[in-house]
Amino acid sequence: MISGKQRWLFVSLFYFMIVILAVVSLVPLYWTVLTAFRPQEEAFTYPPSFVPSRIVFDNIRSTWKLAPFGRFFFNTLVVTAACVSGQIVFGSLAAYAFARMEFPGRDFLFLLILGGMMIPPVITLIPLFIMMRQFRWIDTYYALIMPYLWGQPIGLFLFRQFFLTIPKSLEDAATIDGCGHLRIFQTVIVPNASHAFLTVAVITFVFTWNNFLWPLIVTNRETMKVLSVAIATTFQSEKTVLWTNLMSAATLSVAPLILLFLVAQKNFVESIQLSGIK
Amino acid sequence: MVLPTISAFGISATKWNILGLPQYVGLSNYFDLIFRDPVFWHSLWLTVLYTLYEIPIQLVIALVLAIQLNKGMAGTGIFRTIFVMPWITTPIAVGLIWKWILDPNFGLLVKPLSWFGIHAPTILNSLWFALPSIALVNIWRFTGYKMMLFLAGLQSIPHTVYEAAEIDGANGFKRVWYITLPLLKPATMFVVITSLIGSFKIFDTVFIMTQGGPGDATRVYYFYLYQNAFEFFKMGYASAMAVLLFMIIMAMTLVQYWYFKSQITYDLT
Repeated sequence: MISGKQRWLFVSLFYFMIVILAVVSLVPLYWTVLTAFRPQEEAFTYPPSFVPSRIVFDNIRSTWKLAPFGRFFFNTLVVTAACVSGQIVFGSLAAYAFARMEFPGRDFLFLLILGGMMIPPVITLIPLFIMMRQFRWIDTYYALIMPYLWGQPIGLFLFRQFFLTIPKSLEDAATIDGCGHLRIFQTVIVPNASHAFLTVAVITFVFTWNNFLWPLIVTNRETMKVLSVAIATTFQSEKTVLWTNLMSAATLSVAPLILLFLVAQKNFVESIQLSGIK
Repeated sequence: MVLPTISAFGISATKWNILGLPQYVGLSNYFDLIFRDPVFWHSLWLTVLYTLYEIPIQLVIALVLAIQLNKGMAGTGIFRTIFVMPWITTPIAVGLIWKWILDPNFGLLVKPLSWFGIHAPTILNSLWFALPSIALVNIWRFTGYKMMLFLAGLQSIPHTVYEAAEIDGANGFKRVWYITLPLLKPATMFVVITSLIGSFKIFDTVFIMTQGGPGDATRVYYFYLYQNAFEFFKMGYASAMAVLLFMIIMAMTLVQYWYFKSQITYDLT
């Protein structure tokens, strides 16, 4: 048996390891924010200091002016809002149909969609791109939104999992009261699964906000770029751009995500657990 | 979903620069890829190498962290939050942040690295360090997420098993080895396969950090595919690459599927 002293040693050793790893996780993020908000010259000194002498907004301001940053933000917001609402509306309605309604071929269709979850997106990338070209949708919001508007199979899957946990007796009671499917959906499903809606919204938000390859290939014009693409192309290619500007851009584009994460942490945790184990 | 998938196979049998009309060439794209394109094999090899750098380290750290955090010690919630934060961060921003940290003139890490004898003028411009650096960045990004997946698996193991083991006199290591790991096997399998699939699709961080360079030291599979399609406009050729990757990923998915079907579940509740 391990003695009390040894046990204490182990516990503190592991604690130490966890703290070190937590620091490793945080320092790059802290360093980014620091570079964005400290006076420019301080970012390039050696040895590096981890405490700013004062907090300034010069870097943020000059970054905002360097490129149509407001426009990039706006584009990202429009696309994210559209994709999140699409996923919520179509995903939940379809999931309700799969969870509660009887119609011919239901199980087959659901299997097909589950199969779609397994298909890696790499295979559809080029055909979808060609489709967008043929519709003349390149450099429009349509190209950025349409392929994602109907929702990802994973969203539908999560909704269905949640809906199946709602006791059927509630709906039976509603049916006796004369409710149709749409009414049941509104009065029974939505209030009881509000949690599910938030979770799916949050993960769709992060996915869309961070999406890169698709917006990269369907936008060329400066005014149609979303944040991730703008950072990778516009900002990086400029010769006059300083690290302080780049870190300001990174801070601005990541800030909404971190805020959302801190507010809706429970939903993130749950979505990871649900998508993970069966 | 179904239609684009089928048409990908169709396009892969053509020669098409997207401006003109596609020209049917049968299986010659596949033939060229496999027998005439050393870059294709190079990119596949790099992807495998990248996987070997990234996955083992990442999963071991994630598993150890998860086992520790599952003990319910003080501050677990805060640590969990901190570890997941890199995963939330936009991949493009992650790449940029690390480029800054590894910047040859002002980077935070350049001096400390030189203490270990790593004096490459720029880490990301070195043939040796570019790919491991990208792997390291993605280890930083994904470890917390993988830890959460493990934690979800750990939480499904009931406490009673551990209590029984304790009565039988099993110490900490024995409990991990004989109880935790075997019961965690399904979760582990899931994490391993999804990680493998993920590392075959690595793109964003390569795009922002090295653009496949220096030379083609980081031209991984997905990046080469992207270049063929959207820089060289070889749609048919790129589609053939997509189909091959599709098959690799499907094979991994099927292995996972079969594994879960054959798995005997120990119902402990």
